Amino acid sequence: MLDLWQYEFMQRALLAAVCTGLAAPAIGTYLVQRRLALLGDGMGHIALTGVALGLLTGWAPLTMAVVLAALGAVAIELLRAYGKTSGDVALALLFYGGIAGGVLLTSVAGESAATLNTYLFGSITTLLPSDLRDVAILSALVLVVAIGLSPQLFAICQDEDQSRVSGLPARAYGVLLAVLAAVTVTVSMRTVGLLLASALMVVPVAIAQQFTRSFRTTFVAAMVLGVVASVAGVAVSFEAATPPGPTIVLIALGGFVVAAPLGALLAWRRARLAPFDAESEAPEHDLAEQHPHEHGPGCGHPAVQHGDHVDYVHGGHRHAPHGQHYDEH
Amino acid sequence: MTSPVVDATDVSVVLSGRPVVRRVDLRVRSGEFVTLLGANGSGKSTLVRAIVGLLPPATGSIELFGTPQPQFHEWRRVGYVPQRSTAQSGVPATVTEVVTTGRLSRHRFAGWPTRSDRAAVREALELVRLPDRARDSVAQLSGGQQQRVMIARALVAHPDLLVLDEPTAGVDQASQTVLAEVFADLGARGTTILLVAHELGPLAPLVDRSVVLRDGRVVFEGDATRAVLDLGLGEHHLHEGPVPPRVPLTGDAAWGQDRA
Repeated sequence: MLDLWQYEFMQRALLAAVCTGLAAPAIGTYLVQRRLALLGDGMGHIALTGVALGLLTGWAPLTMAVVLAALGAVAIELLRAYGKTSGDVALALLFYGGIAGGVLLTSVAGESAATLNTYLFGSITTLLPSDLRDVAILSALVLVVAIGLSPQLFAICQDEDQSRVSGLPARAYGVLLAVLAAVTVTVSMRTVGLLLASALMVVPVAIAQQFTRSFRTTFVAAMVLGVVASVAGVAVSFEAATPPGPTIVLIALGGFVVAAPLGALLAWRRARLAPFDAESEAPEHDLAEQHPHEHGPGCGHPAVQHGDHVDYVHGGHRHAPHGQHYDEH
Repeated sequence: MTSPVVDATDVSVVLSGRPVVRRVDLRVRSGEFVTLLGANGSGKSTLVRAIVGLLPPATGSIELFGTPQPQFHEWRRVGYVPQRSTAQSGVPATVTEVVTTGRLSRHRFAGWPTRSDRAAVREALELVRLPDRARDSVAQLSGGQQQRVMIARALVAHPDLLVLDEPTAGVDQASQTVLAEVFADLGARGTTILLVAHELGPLAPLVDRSVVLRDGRVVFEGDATRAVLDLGLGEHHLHEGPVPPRVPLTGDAAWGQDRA
């Protein structure tokens, strides 16, 4: 295990794994909260077209992927906010357009499917120092925004309408979040690959929320789990000679398979131990508010025969004389 | 004479080509408790969404605190409880975390909670009678308690106007009673309340004025009791005996006279 560190390419791979393991779940937590778990996947497909465009034009594929994915992110937010297209249909359009455009442009560029494969499923062990630098810078950017603006991002993901009424530029934050998702996906492009990047955004969050009850702990736990899964995945793939991207994702999914029944068990125990909610016990009498007026025949309030007694209509409800007080009926 | 808190004049709202609110005038004065009543699809929810700026009106104008709404920026003066059956989202969140988001209207840029934010959150939770649930996940609360969390979120910035969209729908009796107490407290503080509701239940004695919408138009405006009884929009409860005849309430015996 220790001899991992002897190879420079493995050092770079592990550092890149830490970067994406932190950045992907940080953005993923907001996406899951917003019930847009598949947004990252849509970004990944669009980024593929960006990569192909880069291969075609000779510009850096990473830059092109970031730019195109960010444009796609803005488009999807605008479609959601103003268009008649629902969120999931808008996502589906991105999926199809992105993957078709990517494959088409790659073939036009005269590149083989193998080149595309390194972006689709990652090639973390072939990172150059400059690649690692790009991954580190973009991950740091994502983390700074995701943590620094966490009160605002949490608010718009929690309840968009309410946050708009409290004066937050909710649409701008929505676009920002989608652009961050796009950047995160392209950061993950070299580690787990575009097709599996979304898994690293969603699966750690899904594991964490089996056990948490606050957003903050979910957020932190998801990032820890993301790093653990990424580093473990790189190490295992080195030992077992498996492809790193799918190994990372399968380790994370394995964690979910273990966590889900455990979480269910804990929730069940907590429910059993919780004290019975006294508030939910219905009072036997629903007492009317105090009032000096005494209801009686000819008191001015309409009388209504109600079974074996008479109710008096009073302020939109009925009062029934009962001893010294009135019951609400 | 101060300007009304809400002044909607000749407001229409069109949703996907269909007029949902048609030329409605609605005025809410400072300190008033006004309810918007009406059946499903009568346009009451759409009208308040236009008032708080979530939907653009197709005709007419809306003023908040005397300022035309497009130029209105003091959103911390407005607390809004949207029509939602739950305060949950896709990720667990505690009651405190959800209520704290209501303080963002008081922060221009950085939103990290300060000491005064935390104190305001505690105060708001006490107001809705949930101080001991502050650290619980909202998912663990009943529907009525979650509504109270959303009301606390609206109150935490100390708004002058509170707009609530059906906070009483599907809420248990205990929470309804707590809501009535909360509104009574707010009324005593002078907070203006605009409430959208299906039925008033225990809130009825607190309401100053009811506006009833049908098909996007105002069909009744005035005393809450009359609105409830005349239009058959009131509460329903089970009768063991035969169903009593509906007795129309005459104006000279309206509730409130004996309260003076």
